[in-house]
Amino acid sequence: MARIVTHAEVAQVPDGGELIIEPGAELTPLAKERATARRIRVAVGSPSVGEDTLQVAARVAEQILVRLGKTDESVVEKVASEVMAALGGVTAVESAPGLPPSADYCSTYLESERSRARRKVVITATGQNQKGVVAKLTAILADLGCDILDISQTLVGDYFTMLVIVDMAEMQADFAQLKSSLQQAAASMGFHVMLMHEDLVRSLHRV
Amino acid sequence: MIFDLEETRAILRMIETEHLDIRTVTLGISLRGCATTDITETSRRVYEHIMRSAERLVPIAKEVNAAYGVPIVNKRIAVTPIALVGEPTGAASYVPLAQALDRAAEELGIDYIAGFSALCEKGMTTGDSVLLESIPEALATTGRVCSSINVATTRAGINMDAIALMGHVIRALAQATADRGGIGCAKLVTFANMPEDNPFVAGANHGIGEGDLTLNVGVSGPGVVLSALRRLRESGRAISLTDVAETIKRMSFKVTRAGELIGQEVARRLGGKVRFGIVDLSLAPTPAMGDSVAEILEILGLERTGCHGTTAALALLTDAVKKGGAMATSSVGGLSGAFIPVSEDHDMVAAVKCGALSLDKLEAMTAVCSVGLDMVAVPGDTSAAMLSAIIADEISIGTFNNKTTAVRIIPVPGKGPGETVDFGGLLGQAIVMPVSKYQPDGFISLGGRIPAPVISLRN
Repeated sequence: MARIVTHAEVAQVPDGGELIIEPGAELTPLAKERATARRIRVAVGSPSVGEDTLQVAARVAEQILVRLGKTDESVVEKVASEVMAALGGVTAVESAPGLPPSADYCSTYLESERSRARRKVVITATGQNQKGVVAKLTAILADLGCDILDISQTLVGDYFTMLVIVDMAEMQADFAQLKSSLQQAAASMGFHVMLMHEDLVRSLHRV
Repeated sequence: MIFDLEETRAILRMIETEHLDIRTVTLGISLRGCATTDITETSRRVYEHIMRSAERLVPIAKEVNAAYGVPIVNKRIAVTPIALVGEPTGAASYVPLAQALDRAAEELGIDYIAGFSALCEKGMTTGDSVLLESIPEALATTGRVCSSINVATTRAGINMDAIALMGHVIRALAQATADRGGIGCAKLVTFANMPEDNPFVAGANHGIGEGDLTLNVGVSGPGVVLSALRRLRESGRAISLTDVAETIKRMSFKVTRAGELIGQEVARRLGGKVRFGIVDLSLAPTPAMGDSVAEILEILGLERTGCHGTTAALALLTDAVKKGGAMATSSVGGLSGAFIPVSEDHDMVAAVKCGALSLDKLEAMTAVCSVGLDMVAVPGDTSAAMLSAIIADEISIGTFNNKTTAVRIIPVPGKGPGETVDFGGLLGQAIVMPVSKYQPDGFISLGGRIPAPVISLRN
């Protein structure tokens, strides 16, 4: 059974490094894509046969040819590489042998993600009222490139709540980064912040 | 403002304290193109096809989880019933196919892969027989493969020969995994009217009428329903059962909407040939406190699950769940009802422990819930004929009421009634339940088929 090399295996190789797979093994489309993106060279061969073996093979070939009375360098090289191939040595491949892509998953996905209109998040902040809360939180949103679509605040006694709806379409960070920076800032003021994808709120509460 | 604070708070409460999660996203993969005349070659193709089709499932589920904040607990795979894929090989055992499935699941980071299955409601082909005979070794030597056998449909009647054989298969499987309490049997389900798009293991499979790749979703939500009912009771208002049904419907609506949203998103991100399939509305309990179906029944005023009144309460619950869920999505499928897996529900275990819940009462409850005798432990010395008879009873309830029923029963080797067995993780802990001391052997040995019920004549 041919071994399938997955993206998990590629992840263990450092950027620009080399991944040696045994003959017959195949890369999944995702593994191939990640390897290309991270400039990892994929070679077929058994890792135990390396440069030393190549030199030995060349010397052996040379000796044989000397005894046969031929000393043409190019013949030596050719024989050496044939010996290596027979040994199953490392041969770099132009493009890694990959499975035919069943679908152009990655580009379709990225494209649709970029052009996706509904990228809104609902942010709520609650806590003891104090000066500068709105300023501090909205500054973070502005820094990350979020567009505030709607904002409201209420004060019940000394208790402040704020609800902001933000468009993330041009945000220069991902959802997790937005969440952690808002939560860090809020925590320093004793506030509690929650973030929720608008789709989730909408689908649970609207018919 | 389009939303108010209370709405966002309610969602956060559901996720953080009431166990709202997506119990499973299950990718159904058709293996019909993998059949060859050689078992080694077929195994290779099965393995490669799964690796190619599902390699993004786990990373994408994690991405969606991070983007929406709704936990996706399990990522699973269902495949075409293996008997159909294995039959052309003419092999005497399908164990290599089970091992190929197991290896693919392990490398993809998936906990269960289901579909080591056969459809033999009316008769058994050579492939079906080979599959059934392969089950003990296949499930004992793999960790992730689940098997399901359809032995009856309302249209075809009940294949009693297959049921008789299942008794022996279950016993052999329990023996083969005797060192682990017979855990192999927790991965084997015997069905009547098996759904083709069920996302929940162990009974999942990718039906022969499905497309290349289908993403199905199973929601959870006993915790959410339980908390809502608790708030209703504590509100101090005079409440009736109509209020109860209304509350359950509302909660089921929300839970299902979350499931549909996440499922559509995972399917969209998977792209290619993947299509979104269905949402299974079932309330699926876990061994966690507060995530129990039995607890819901008890908050309705039953002292213990299993006492008189339990079937009525469960009927109300299952029906309300369906009504709320049906409103929330146009793609209802799978089992869609309420699960009552005994060992996976801590309150159900407690009910068995104190003697409130017997095997017989459980059987009655399955007439109005969505699955059947699920994760039931019986004594290790229960005979094959006795197991077959228990299955036959349960399968009859499904066949004659035009619904799905199933049996996942574990004759725990070396244990007797009242003893405890711990399967660990989501499978939980079970108390061995006594079975009847009177023997059904004569009936089971008759064999043949129970004809399809008159309700099957609908054309």
